[in-house]
Amino acid sequence: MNTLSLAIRGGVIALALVLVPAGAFAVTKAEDIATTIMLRGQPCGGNAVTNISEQKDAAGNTVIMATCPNGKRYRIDVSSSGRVSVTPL
Amino acid sequence: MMRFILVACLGVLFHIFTMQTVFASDAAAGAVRNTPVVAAPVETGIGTTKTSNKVNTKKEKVAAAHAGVNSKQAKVVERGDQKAPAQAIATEKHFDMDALIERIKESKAIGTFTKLALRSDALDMVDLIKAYRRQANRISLDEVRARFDGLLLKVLALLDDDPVLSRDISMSREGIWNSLLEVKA
Repeated sequence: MNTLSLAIRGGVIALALVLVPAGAFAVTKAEDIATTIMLRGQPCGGNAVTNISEQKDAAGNTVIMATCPNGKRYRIDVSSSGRVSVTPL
Repeated sequence: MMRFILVACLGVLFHIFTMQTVFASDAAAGAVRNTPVVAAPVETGIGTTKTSNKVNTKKEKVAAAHAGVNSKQAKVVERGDQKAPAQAIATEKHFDMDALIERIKESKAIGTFTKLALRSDALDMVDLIKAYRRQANRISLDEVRARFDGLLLKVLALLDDDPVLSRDISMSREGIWNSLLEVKA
């Protein structure tokens, strides 16, 4: 019985080792913003931005400024309706 | 020592059995998803102003989020230059639009801002199709389709870490396209 219990534990651990990497692909904010910049056709030169600053106004619009690995700084405007635009600074 | 080896072997066997069960259930689910059903586009129409703007926004998102069609009734697009899409509707496979939208929303493979950017692109696509239907620009249906394919490719590339959702969206390509064509001008 004890052996069976250990076997089940071993199986669960082995299964966890297989399944955990599959679910561990959550995107960081820096990667998310870099992807957004590239999706809008702007060069970024890497997968993650740095120096992120975020401001939100009373109307619900969000302005994010971030620097890409290639040194370019971008302004990302997210309107209250959800429209996204990227402008090089 | 022998006991340790026995435990390890049993653990591996248990793991193999579990994985087989997982793959078998996944294959069965895939078979169910692949069941062909005659489907038809539904009211993905952005112009259907039956409720508030919020609802319209949601519908735009629905039409735009590269989800699919959810209707039970068959309907044919009556357009002179759309023989191929109209034909495709008949062979289209059933898929659940709302479920796809929820899966895209909940997918961790794409970040929030990326999802918003994709939504913006999709709304632009809807606007383009509306303009095409009004003949407001000189763009042809083939060009609209090419842009749609490009946008879908972007989505599929971004869903690289969520292969199941990527596959389901890819399989729903024609349905999504047909639902976009159903958007009222």
